[in-house]
Amino acid sequence: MIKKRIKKKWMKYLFVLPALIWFFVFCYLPMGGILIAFKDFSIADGIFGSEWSDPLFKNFTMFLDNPNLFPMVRNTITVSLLKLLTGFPAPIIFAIILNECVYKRFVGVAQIISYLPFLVSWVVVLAILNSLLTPTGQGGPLYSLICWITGNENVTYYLLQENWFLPLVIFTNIWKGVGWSSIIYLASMKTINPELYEAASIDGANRFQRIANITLPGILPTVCMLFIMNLGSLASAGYEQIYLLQSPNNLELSNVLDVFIITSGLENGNYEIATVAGLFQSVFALILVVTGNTIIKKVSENSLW
Amino acid sequence: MKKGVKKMRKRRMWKCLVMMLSCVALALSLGGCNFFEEEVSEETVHISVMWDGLAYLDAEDQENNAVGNKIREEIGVDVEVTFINGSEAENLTRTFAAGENFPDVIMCPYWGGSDASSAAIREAAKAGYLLDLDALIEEYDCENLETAFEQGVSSDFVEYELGAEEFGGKHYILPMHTPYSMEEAKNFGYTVYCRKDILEDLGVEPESITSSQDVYELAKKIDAGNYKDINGNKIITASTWGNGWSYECYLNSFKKRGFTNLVKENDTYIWNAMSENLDAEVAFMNEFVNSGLFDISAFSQNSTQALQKHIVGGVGLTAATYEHIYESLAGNLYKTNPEMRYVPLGPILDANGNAAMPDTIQDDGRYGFAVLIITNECKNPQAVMKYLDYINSEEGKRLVYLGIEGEDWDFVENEEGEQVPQMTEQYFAETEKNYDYKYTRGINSIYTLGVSRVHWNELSYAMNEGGEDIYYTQVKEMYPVQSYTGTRANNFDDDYPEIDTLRNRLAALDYSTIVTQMYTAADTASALEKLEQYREKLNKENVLSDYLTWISKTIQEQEDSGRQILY
Repeated sequence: MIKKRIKKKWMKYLFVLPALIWFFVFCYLPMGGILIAFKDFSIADGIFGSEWSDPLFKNFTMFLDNPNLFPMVRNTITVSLLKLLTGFPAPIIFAIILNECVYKRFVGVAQIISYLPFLVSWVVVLAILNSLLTPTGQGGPLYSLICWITGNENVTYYLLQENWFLPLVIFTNIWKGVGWSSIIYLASMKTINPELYEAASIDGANRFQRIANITLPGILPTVCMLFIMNLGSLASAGYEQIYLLQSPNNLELSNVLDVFIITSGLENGNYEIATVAGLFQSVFALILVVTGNTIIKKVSENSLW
Repeated sequence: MKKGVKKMRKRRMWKCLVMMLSCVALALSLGGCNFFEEEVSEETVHISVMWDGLAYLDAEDQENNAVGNKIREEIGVDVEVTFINGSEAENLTRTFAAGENFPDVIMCPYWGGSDASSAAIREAAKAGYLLDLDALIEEYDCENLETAFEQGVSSDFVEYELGAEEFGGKHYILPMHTPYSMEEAKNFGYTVYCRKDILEDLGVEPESITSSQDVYELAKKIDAGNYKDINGNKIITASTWGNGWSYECYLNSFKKRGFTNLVKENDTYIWNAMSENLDAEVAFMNEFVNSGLFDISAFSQNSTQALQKHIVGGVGLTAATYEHIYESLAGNLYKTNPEMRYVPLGPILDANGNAAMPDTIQDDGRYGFAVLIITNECKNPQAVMKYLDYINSEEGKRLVYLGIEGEDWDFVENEEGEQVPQMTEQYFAETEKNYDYKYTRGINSIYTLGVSRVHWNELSYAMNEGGEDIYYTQVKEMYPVQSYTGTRANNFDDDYPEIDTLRNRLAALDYSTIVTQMYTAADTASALEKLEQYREKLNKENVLSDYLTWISKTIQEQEDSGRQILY
């Protein structure tokens, strides 16, 4: 049966093949590295040649012994939750606005402008933000504007302030991702039968009623699917953005697991602890996705599996 | 019909364009996969520099410069240097973790102990990724390198690091830039520096600043003076260079300068973070930052951002080494606004009442330094050894540090009637026109990488018109190098049974990051609260106390056996 199907639709399967190879090479093969969490890893002996830890869970004990573990987990969840709560609905709202806009040229320009930040790296995005908010010299334009609005006359490094950290994380996250993420919702909206809108208009539904009763239910399966997939990211606050926004002043909020993994693994060569932290994050993400999928399956009929 | 032809042409054009782009992409990909290996001369020495921020050492044209040409003429060897930016530990760890495709020769730091760069090098040696230098020296008869592993190196570093058990009696690390003797030990000239015109305007004598509190009072006066940079903007009162380097000079009055993290208080060894001095230091710095006098962004700025602040004379007080400040500003600010030169303040005494700054308290040689290692994938070890032997000869050293005799330097008679090298008038005239002239000649540039022992005093005299720069002499006199003989207490750490737990705890609670958090806390009370929290976390389950008990006992035993212990 399966053989027949493959034979019949071999071209479609061929299209899927590169993606499968990619997943195998970059996502499944590296999983062998999890062994490092149970070993006294030495670069001389490699992953398989290194001695097993004695006791086996020594690296887990060391990871749990970290006095900063609780604040790190708390910060990771706080940052990722805020990013999910703001960054997830933003592209849906943006896509709806674009979908409702009648000036197609404006829509095209707005789309290009909104996609651009996604195409540049976090380093560039935050360098731009730094220039906008710098108090040195004549002061960046955004800095001058904030000072003018708040009447602040003191030299203030907003990028270094603890209470500005989370708003800046949210703002830059939305700014960078809103345009790109809206593509999938716009595509989903295009699949809605236009006759539904026409019928609703004839029945006297206004714009908001059409959005609430046609557009949103129309894209709901896509929203649910992406929401479940995004739930996994709750275990990760993102490395680049947080690392680049991190400063001693905001460390109480910016000390997250993602940065810890990079610094302890790559900067300090402590691969075992970094692997344990990574494993901890992955298991947590898996639990979140499975739980999220089960709940959503129960309350709606949309789910990943 | 015409429309159809046009359409076909257009389609062909697009096809051609797509084909061309595909070919370019394919060629680039293959290039990236090393399918087209660059052809290089067999007598080329490739050095990868894994030391962040050293790229300024690059010769303007690596293939064609006076020093490089002379080396080629003398020994027939070319030198190619690649600078790899970013964390040294990260680059070294990643390089050796890959298990292959190593650079021929690597220049990097080796500080010893549990430092991550040093650990990566030890692992690489253990894995057989590095070549045994003793064997190479013997095979290629490199007599100029024979004493490189002891001369100018601290005796306990020789015993515990260069001669570490893991190395099995072999030498894998070539120490660089060590002195011939402690009399010639390099003084880095760390202290707080102030813009000369501001000091003169305020009528403050540099030697009147003898404590951190004096620096603070001076900062208040500078702030009140409303001084400007060369663009007319108000200056930052006090700052540092990249990543807060070296803010600790401002805090000298609270530091007990020594060799390890241990301090002795009331005849008991305690961890420096537990010292009462740290409470005072945190309170002082927190006030300094919160008063707006100390630049809060200094702790997180990179070296480029720091340079931008200094290059326009935008900082009143700064702290770093003499050489770093001079090299960064001599070609720009000092040229356009010589009145804005930074002059050293002090001596600012440390908490022991000693005129000591970072790196002035030394053993009987250098402990931790830049090193050169040769990997087992080195394509031509013979060329590398020939080159290293040559640049370590007296003739070679003068060539790489001073240039060509007769053109760049000549022997002159100094005040003591000795014949010493001095750069020529032409060299100084050219340097006046273009401060980077030395890099166009290849002088004091990439070719110094691999020189093991250096006559620092001779160089300092030769490179400055009319002898050594007055401010460098001043700072050296303020904080002379103090040499002690003995064994550092932390050399015994590996014998402590719970050392992994302690090191894990110290790594998890990165002191340098946490202490800057305290400095930048909203107020002194919360800064001190953070300090207490840090201490509690550090000593959770008596991890630190147990170590201190053990190390105190070990020190006592060692001293009883007649050994001098440094802490």
